[in-house]
Amino acid sequence: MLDLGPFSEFIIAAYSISFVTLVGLIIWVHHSESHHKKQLDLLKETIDKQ
Amino acid sequence: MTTTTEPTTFWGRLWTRFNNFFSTIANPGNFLNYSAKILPWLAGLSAIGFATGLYITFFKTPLDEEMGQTVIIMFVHVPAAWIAQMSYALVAASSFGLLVWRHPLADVSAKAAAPLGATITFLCLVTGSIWGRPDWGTYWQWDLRMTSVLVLFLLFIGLITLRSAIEEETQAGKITAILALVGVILLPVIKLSVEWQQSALHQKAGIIRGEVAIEFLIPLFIMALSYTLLFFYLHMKAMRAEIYRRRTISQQRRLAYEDHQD
Repeated sequence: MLDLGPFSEFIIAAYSISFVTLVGLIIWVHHSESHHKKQLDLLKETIDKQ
Repeated sequence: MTTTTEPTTFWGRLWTRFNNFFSTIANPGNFLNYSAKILPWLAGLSAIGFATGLYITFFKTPLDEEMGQTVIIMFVHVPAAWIAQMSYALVAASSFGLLVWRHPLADVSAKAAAPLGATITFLCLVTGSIWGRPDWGTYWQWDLRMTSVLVLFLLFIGLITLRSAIEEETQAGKITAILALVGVILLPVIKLSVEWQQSALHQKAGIIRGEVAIEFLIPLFIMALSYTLLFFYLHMKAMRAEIYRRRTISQQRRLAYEDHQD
């Protein structure tokens, strides 16, 4: 493993925050898409039953 | 009677095909079909890019003479800065599309890009601030570059807030689009800020001037490409979510109207 030098905590902080933020965005868009799709499918099912 | 003729020149045919492609993709149903095919490719290529970029960053990048090992923060900060500006340009272009061609998918694109742009601009500010402490001795300076990027972040927040404050969706889209177009003026300000303020702590655009060594340029471009692919993946996903949401609302209205008729 690479020696991150005397400022390793800054490097780790920058990469950790980037990782958490980008993974957070991926989870959010996935959740948002599946939630709205589920809502639409449920509604279509209700309309079809009527 | 009207007749349509196929253009004879190469550029004419190319333009016709380009227009046809956009007419096809601009249909929300077609967009859902095409994006379902493109999304796995974007996700896969972005993941490969990040894996390669991170390997080169942590195992192959040499120390920088001035910055030491903190130079590798550049590989997450600079792509975030580029994507932040690109996402605003996308919001503005989509807003232009909405105001000029009144296409609902342009509004969907603008709405989907704004929270992504805000988050990535925030990421750019935070990573830049963390990089600043060991390099400049301070987390923040109110210089033109840092302040203009902060204003960009606030502009994104303003666009999101303004849209959510107006109940009528069409009206909200148009008013937000006008603000987004006015805000475009910020992009050249961000670009030129380091040239205008010579006393600023922020570095000049060294990549364009060819001042960055090839050992740093390779991981930087790999990470930037991965960020770009990831951004388009997120944007497409967010657009799909918004299309489903709008379809649900229109179905609910139809159902309510039919119930009222009965």
